[in-house]
Amino acid sequence: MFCFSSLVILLLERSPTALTLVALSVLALGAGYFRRGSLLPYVSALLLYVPAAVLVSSVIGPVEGSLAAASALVLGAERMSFENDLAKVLEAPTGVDSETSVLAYRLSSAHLQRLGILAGLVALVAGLSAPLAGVTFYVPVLVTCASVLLVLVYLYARVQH
Amino acid sequence: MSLKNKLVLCGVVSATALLVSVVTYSPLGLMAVPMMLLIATDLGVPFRRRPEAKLRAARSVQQKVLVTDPVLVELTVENDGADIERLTAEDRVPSETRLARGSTGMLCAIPHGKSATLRYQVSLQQPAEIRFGGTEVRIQSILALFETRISIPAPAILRAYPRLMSRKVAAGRAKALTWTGSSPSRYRGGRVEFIDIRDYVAGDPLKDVNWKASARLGRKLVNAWSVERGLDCIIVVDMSLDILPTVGDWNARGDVITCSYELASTLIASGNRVGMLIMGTTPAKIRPGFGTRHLRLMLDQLVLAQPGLAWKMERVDEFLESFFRTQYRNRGGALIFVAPGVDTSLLRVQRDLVAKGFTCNSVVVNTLENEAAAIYGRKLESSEKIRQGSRFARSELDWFETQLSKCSQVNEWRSDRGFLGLEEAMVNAT
Repeated sequence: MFCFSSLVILLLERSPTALTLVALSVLALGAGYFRRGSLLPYVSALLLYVPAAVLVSSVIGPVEGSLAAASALVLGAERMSFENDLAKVLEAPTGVDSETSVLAYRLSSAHLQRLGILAGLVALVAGLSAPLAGVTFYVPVLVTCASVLLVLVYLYARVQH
Repeated sequence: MSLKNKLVLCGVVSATALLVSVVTYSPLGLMAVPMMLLIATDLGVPFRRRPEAKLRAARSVQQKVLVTDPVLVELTVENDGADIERLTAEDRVPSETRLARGSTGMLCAIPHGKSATLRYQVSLQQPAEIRFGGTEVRIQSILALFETRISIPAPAILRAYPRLMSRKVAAGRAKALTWTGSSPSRYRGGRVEFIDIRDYVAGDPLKDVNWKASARLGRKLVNAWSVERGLDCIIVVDMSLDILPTVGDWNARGDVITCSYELASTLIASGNRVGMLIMGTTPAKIRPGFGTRHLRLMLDQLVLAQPGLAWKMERVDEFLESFFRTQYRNRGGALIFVAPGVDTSLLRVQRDLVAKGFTCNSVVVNTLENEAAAIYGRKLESSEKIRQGSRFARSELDWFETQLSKCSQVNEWRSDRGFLGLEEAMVNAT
């Protein structure tokens, strides 16, 4: 309730731009749901990120708030994207074979597990960045750079092998 | 593996966030952190390349069915390679089929050595032979940021045969149509009409013995029947696209096939010798013959027949001369034209053949109602216009049938009622 009322006050009274972003985000999410799109939940999350980050930052601090908002939105968008893919297969008007639905739900739980790992990793990165905050002011830059570097190493390794 | 749109989006967002973070020193760029971790998590083990997945697909489907019967299709995908975290399969269903139950898509994980089966039911609205091809498979990482698309062959052939209408007036249907021929029937001595009682001769079937008369007169007597006369006929099926009513993906091919099959079946069941000539994409020619096996041969040709423009009714005379030589020279038997409508070319052809001494009969497949329903179903015209159009089409058909009746006996056939007016003809005949 607190979050909702704060968001309304923030969006209506202080920033019409943020309100527009939230509206667009809801539209993208709705379009993704009805068209069963894989990308639209991500677009929706992207549009919602700045208002959400601002809102959460006002409560728990800028770095933690941005990271928490981004993590929640990425996890949510990925799950929504998966649900849309799942619905494409399972929402046949005449029903689907039981084996098909069992296999799909098994994959769904594996997907949830992977998202759990992702949440753990984000928490780990956030935890590691906390000591850095005391050392340097440019923590966000350092953390993002470290993340990008990590992925580049992964990509390089995959291309080489 | 190819990059997916989702991965490109994640990459672009991360790069932008990083740029924002570096330029403004603001924490907003932290969006890149979960995005990058998402990519890293989906990549899996970085220093070990995953072996390629080896997939095999097998399809199980009934080979012969009747039109509109549901057919179960089972597609089994087996993985002989490395574990697949996420597999999206979309089976390619031939356009002639209609999905009756289930889904043609599958989303699952298949570990090494395991298989997954996709099941669904389809039905065919028209007699046809359809070929199932391969299935489109996308092998993806679990978060679907990476994928490989492959097509696995899983061939199968399904043949849908027309349904025979229930025979309300089965007995002597061919005779009711006054198509009684002059050649002796294969079922010689068939019980068509009782003539007399005569003495038993060795070889007479026991079912002909008149037991009452034999007991009364003290000697074995048998009933004598008039010899059944069969019809030596050739069914000419018009599958020309010029005349075949077509609305969107609907056409009257199924009605023409069902009518021809019903006609051939009735004629053969009455002991007639029946041949067939199908004019369509490719001409199918079947010499006259008796029996169920012969009927099956004609049915197979009918199911395979496709409408086309290559072979038209103007060529019928030529085919009869070159293919049915003896019959053509003897002028024996009758020609029965099955057409989904009447046009001037059919009139001209029949007049020419009658002038040459052939007996011509026509079966006009009335598809007006089905055509109107197809137009209505696709919302191509308003119901008022459809009603008007149907009236005009009916008038045109009546006029052509009147013209056609000057050189041949005309019968009409409809998919829901069979040969129209046949019951009345039966009553009049009896």
